[in-house]
Amino acid sequence: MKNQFLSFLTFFLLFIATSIQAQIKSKVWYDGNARVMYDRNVLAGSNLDQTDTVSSRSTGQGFSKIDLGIHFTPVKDIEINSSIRLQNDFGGMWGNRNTVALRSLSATGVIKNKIRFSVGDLFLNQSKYTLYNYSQELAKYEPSVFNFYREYINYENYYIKNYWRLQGIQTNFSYNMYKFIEQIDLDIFSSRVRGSQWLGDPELLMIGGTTFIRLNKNFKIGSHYINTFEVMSSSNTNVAYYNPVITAKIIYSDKIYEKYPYSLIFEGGLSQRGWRGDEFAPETNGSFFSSSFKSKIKSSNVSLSFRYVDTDFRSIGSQSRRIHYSLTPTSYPFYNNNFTQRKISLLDIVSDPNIYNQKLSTSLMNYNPMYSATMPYGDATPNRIGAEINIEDINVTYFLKLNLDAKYFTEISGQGTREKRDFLNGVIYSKLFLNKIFDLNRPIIIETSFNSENVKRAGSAIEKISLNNHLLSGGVSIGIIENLNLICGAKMFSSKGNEYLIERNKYDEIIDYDKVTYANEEKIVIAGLQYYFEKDTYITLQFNHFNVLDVDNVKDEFSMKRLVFMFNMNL
Amino acid sequence: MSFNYINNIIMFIFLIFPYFSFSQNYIDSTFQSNQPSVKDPISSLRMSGYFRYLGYVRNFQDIYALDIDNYYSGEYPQPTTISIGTGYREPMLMLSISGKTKKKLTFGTDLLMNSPFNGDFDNNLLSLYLGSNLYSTLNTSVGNFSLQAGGIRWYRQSKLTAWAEEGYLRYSLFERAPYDPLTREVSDRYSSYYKKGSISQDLRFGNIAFQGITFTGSSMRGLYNSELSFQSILGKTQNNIGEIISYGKDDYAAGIRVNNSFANSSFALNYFTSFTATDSVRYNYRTFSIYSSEFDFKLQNLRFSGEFGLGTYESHLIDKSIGEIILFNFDIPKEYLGIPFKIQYSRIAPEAVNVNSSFQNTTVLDLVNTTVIEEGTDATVLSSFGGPVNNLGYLANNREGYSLNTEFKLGDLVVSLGTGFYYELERINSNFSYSHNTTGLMLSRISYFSSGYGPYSQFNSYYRGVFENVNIQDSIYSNDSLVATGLIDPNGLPLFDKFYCSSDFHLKYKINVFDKNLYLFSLTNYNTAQDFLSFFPVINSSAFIRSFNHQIDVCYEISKSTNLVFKHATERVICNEFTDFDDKDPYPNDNSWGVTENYEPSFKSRNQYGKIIGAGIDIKLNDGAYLFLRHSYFHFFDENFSATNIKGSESTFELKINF
Repeated sequence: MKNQFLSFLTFFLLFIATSIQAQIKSKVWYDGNARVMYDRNVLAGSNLDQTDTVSSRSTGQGFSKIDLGIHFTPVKDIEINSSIRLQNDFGGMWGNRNTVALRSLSATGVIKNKIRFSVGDLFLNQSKYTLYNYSQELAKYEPSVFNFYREYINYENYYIKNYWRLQGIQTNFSYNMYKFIEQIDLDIFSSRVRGSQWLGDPELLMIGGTTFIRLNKNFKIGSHYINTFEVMSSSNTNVAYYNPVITAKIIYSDKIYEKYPYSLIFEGGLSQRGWRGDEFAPETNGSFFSSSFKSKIKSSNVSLSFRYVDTDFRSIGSQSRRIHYSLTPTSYPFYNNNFTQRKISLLDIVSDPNIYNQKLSTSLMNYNPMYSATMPYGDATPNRIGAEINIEDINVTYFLKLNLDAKYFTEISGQGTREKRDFLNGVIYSKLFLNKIFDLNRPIIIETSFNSENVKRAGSAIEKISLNNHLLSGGVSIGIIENLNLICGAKMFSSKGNEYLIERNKYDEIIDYDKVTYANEEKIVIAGLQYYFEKDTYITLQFNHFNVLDVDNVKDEFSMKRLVFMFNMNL
Repeated sequence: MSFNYINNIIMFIFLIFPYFSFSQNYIDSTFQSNQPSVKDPISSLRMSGYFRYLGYVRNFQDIYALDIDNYYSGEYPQPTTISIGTGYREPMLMLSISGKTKKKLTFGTDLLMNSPFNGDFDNNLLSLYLGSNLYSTLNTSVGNFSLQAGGIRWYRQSKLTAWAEEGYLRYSLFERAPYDPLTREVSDRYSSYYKKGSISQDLRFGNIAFQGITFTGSSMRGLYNSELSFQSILGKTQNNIGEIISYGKDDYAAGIRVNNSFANSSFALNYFTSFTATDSVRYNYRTFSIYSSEFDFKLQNLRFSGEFGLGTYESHLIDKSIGEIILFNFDIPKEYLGIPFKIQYSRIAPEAVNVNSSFQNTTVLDLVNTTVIEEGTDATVLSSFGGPVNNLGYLANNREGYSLNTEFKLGDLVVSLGTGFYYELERINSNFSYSHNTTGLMLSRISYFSSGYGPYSQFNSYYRGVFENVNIQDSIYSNDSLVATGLIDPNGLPLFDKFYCSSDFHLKYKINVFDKNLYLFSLTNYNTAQDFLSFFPVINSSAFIRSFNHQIDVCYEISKSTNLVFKHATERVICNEFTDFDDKDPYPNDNSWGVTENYEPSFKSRNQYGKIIGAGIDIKLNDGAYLFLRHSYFHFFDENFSATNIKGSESTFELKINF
């Protein structure tokens, strides 16, 4: 049936447009992405003949694929979009290891030039506390030599900016007025987060709405509402999950001395989460408040913010994480003579799209405090109060740019103790244009970033927490000829200290703590060539070296080299 | 705050909002939860391909019985076969999609769509045909470069590195291959073959299938006003996809050719290598490499061309061994001797192994189990191993030899003929193999990509062909008792040298009958294998194997849009008394189902006959739309192995439309 459907769809999309041209004026156009990627991993490390006599010394894989986006307009102001993936894996010939699959299907349009609607595969985003797909950890201010991995991961997982990919219907429109209110915006959507399962969980639906009222050119008020709930009657269960969240937002914008634009944003909201029909399930009610000041001073974007997010604040749309720590990494999931299962580490976060999550989670997903302790669920991380300052695009001189970000947060409630954790996180990023200093024709750019995170908790010996995570990243890009760059980069990660991992039950209640100590050192080194045809269209050939070491357990050190080729073409 | 209350309001608005009317126009600055589309369209997208509907009906009048352990025993279960398409992976609709983006970047992919039209709608197939490819070109002042990556690319480098041998382009035109292109006019296939000696071929002809990265450069300035070019690959050929251990284990091929062209000559350096891991850790492996130089130049209008170098083979069990490879062509134009001659000398050492080149591997058994994965089925043996009795122009390693070819016209008669002889350099095994030139296609359709089928398990099928292995015996029957042949030592190794002869005789004639063109093609191949040197094919029973094939094709152009075609073919394979002989009942358990009861072995060697007589019509329906009808009777039998008796008919209905 699937094949039949695909055959039909392909025929329909590829041919119908031309065949019906005489009947109705139809326009067809195409876009998409094409990518070829090959990589070969080689197990590295000293003493392999003693420590690992079972793992393959090398593995290789790859694919070539074209995601052909086909758009056509059967009637005025209506567009049907689909994306068909045509993929063959490296080593598959004559029909073996190939895939023809529907990647997305949607229709968009505007009714009577007033109401915009979309049906099918949607990319939705609301507020940072209601529906928001936060970037993966340690991605902020990453040197651009690592961009190709990041772009690949985001594309494969349908991460477009901070939108979640959902399936449903969405509409929005605005209404202009002339007296006390200038404009009213209304946006509503309904999506199916999880379909019905035979003798399984009930349907999980999400509905949401946003309204903004612009009182004048400076002042705007609005509200977001989202509710994710299970439809009890769609299964044979007597329990149904629900999680409504509502927020109110005030935005004031103006200019300082008529020169520097700024905005003051205040947002507060409430959440509720529970399981109807389950007498053991608690109903949690939470709240949050945030205020921020944003301005553009000369070329720099400045942002100061304060946030309070209640311990019981729950929002499925904004607290679902990208990285799924319970998934198995693709490269060498097991290694050494003990057949040790490899945990997800920085190398997977940087390069493996298969550890990423594309679905909203009804419970708080696990995280690894080594990689993100301060804000594991983004701005919507519960049990946090604190402030953040962020300054981007500081032109120190004509050849040096800086970005800064600093956060200080504390817990609102102690976990397992009255003592509370303090979180201090700072990121500094610099971009140095050496070619401007030496007046060279070809670009020579050095990027560095340093991300430091400190977690502390006072108290008795058993309560004490001290964890320091540092990531130093660097990248050099040297133009050899026009558009061809020699690139190299490195990431040095270290984590030292102790923490308590939280165990939660199915209601997200904390049931236990596992004491863990960290003495980890991870390294990623890349070097290679990259040829750019234009943005998002490039060829790269690189050598990578990854090393993961737990200083307290050196026998499980993992080391791997990789040769990777990627040809990416945005159609 | 009651969330249920808010829920209801939202749902209410959501349901009724379309019924409101608004006086204001849509404003783009409005809040929108959905990601707006921001992508630019592709500048051009092109679709082409073909539709090919092949109806196939086969009816066996005589066919051997089947006796497959634990599966089936009894009469051949399907004397009549009706199918749409054959058992090969051939597209019914091949849709090729290609597009161009900015900056000289192109991409291409192709879809294969098939339906068996057997009433079961779930068996329709939509998949990639050859795969998805990305191309880029870069024209600079230094040279022009192009890079391709992705799915299958048809690739050739040099005869001894990466090449699919085409032979001397002597073949029958009656049977059509799925990839045979449509011609402009209905008779072009035959007139072109008559005039030029070749027909238009699909891109794959003469190339090997390769998947990976191809990087080429051309128009680079070399020394003394020469032009430099190069081509290189890194990836997998069709012989690197076996997944011997599991997917992802090392199995790669790489090659590079650097060519320097002068006005009337060219020289090239070649390297080709293949590496395959044969255990899960990669302690075990096998690898072969070819290093060669090519030359092509003229002196006094005499053309000298060829390739020479070294080949190596190594595995975890075998130390690296090195052997020479030499291929030398000498072309004498007709002004010297009245008719043109092509002389070829070849010497390929047993240590030189390459399963991706124009010469066949006959020395490394491990490499014979190269594989073809056919729509996810098991790996199948692709080629024979024991000394293959090849057609003229098809080389093998562990051989040295010469061939002589010529082609000339006598009025309207085109004569193309050649002969060659070869001898093995080392005694490696005592086996031979030969292909059924005439009846191979019909025999291969009995069991696709199979080893050891037939009543005596003698057939091995590959793509559109069948070969048989022949073993030299250590003892034979003489006066009802076994006597030693003296050809095999106690360890089973040969005590004789192998010599091969092959010859072609091809006639092409065109006459006008009732004001219409009539094309006659007569192709004769005669190949032998023996244990003594002979410059010409042996015609008596001293040869171990004598394989004779004669095929006559007739094409009569009855109108501008219609051709009548006929075929008559004869095949004879005779093996002498030192080869396998019929000494046992092929159906020892036949009592249970009554097939070939009272089988009496002949105690004689192969004596095979193959006959095909066929007729057909080629009709041009429109530009790019052709109908081909074929019907043929065949009979293949062995006088001495009496259970081999296959008789029947095949009909095909082929509608092919290009778009």
